Amino acid sequence: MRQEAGYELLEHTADVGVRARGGTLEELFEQATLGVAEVLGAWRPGAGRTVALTVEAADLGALLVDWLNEVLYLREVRYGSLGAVTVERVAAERATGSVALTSGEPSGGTYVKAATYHGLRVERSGGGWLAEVYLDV
Amino acid sequence: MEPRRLRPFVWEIPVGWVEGMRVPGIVYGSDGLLAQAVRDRAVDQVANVATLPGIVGASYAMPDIHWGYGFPIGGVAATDVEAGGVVSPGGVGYDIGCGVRLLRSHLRWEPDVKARIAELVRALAARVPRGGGGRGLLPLGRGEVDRVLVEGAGYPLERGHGFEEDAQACEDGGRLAGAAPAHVSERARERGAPQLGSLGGGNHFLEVQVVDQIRDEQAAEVLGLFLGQVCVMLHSGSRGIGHQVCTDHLRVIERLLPETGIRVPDRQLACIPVAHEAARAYLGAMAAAANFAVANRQAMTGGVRAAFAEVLGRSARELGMEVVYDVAHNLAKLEEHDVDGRRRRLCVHRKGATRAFGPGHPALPERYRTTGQPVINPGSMGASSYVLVGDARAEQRSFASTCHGAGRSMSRTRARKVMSGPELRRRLEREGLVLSARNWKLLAEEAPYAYKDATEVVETCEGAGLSRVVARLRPAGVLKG
Repeated sequence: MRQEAGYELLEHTADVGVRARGGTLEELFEQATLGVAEVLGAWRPGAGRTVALTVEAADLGALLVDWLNEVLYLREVRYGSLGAVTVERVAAERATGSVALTSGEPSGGTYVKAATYHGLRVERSGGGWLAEVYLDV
Repeated sequence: MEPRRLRPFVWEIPVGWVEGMRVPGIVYGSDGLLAQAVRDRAVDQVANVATLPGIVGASYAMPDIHWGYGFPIGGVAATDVEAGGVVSPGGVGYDIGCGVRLLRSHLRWEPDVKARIAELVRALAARVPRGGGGRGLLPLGRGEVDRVLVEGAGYPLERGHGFEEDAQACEDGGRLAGAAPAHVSERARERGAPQLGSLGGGNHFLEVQVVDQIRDEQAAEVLGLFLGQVCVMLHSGSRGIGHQVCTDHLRVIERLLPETGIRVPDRQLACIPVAHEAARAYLGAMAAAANFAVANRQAMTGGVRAAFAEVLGRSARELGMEVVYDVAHNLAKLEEHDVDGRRRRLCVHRKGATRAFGPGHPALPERYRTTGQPVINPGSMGASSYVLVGDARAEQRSFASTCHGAGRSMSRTRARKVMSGPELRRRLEREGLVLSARNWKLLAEEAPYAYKDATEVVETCEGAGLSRVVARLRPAGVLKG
């Protein structure tokens, strides 16, 4: 059976984690991005301005951390929120896709400094994929 | 395996707690604080840090220890540079140079400020930018960023944001040596340049406080503190520039692990020998970000003084608004310490821990040579903060380090479940606090009940011989980041 896509936030004494699930690696990366957007209070679905993203790393965990840090950087320097996220392809050492940045600073969320390697997991699970990543907030 | 009590307030985490430990862990804590650290797995992180190549003495944890990412918060680790010792960007964290500054004043709570506190908080809110992104009081053009990264507090001072003598009351004179702006990426500059002079979000804050207890009269007099005095405490860091420096360099160093053959129990502990080119690049960029952090607190000091002058109708000079001290709690510094009877050059990581030199240390400003280094120890929002001074015994016990705050004891999610933000607001306001927050819903994340008892933390540090308590300050006006 195909893994249902989704995410949940994980408790941490000082910070916060995201556990994401997806039928494919692309879905998994999208769900993890949505989790980060929820923590930030930065999910505002809409067209916005689309920015292409490419990250390269030696393994899936580092790819996910790089992807999320790329999104955090873009959101901060464009003073925007996230309107959409599309992950086109996650291969062994490369992930490509895009985010749409909508106008308006996040509200109701917590500022996120970075995605960390602490407790990082990206693995097959229940016919799909599961990831856990902790954020420094 | 259980932590072993060595003496009151001192616990050993024996070698073998996790595989590969090179030295034991030492946790400073009361019975209660230690139990919390074991429960939230922070003690496992102390043991993980003990596996770092070149670590000497012990992997230390201060009494405000809690679960972090890689390093525990409250962790201190020193590695021997000449013996292949490493630097770990995760041992500093993403808020490089985050720290606390305390301003004193000639003002008394009664009759000078009590009746004007709401007005003061409003003026401070208008003068000091807060929140995650946004522009600071002193946004930088591209050409100006390098100067801040090298000059630290000196840059805003030259632009008229402060008193000339402010820098002397900062750790390292407000300018950490060895900054290498060439190793700070364009991305880091892009994130940080507009933000100089802004508080940021999370647990950063600005508080108007009142000295309500003096425990060491002599030291308090040297620090210029007296009962009933109004002070201002600022807690902030290096903003986006520090976050990006850590992200960039950790990425490089994590990828070099196979080449160096270093194995770490948590990828966030990725590290590299200090002698390696990538370590030198990181330490140069880290020092640059630390200089941005102290410049950031300096720029906000200008805003704080302007707000007080505006409301009280006298200049900040006339109000005596001088810097008591400015000290960071997220840094890795090259320092000399005695290890096994020999002077060694160490890379001392303090992650949520404060440098605390004892009396007579040559690095201290002349004014504080007799007292020891001031340590500004913020409490949680709505709870008391403390001013401490370093104890010379900390040199042997923690590489001259002590606590950095109260330390969290509860996750943000749980804190919000205990009480809603608006409920907490009403409770704190009933207690007489004047609050300003950008998001009332999130207020509960920083509630006093989500933190350890700051009094227990500072008294444990005193009992363990790391630092001495000088004064307690209660909050009167709180501006949450």
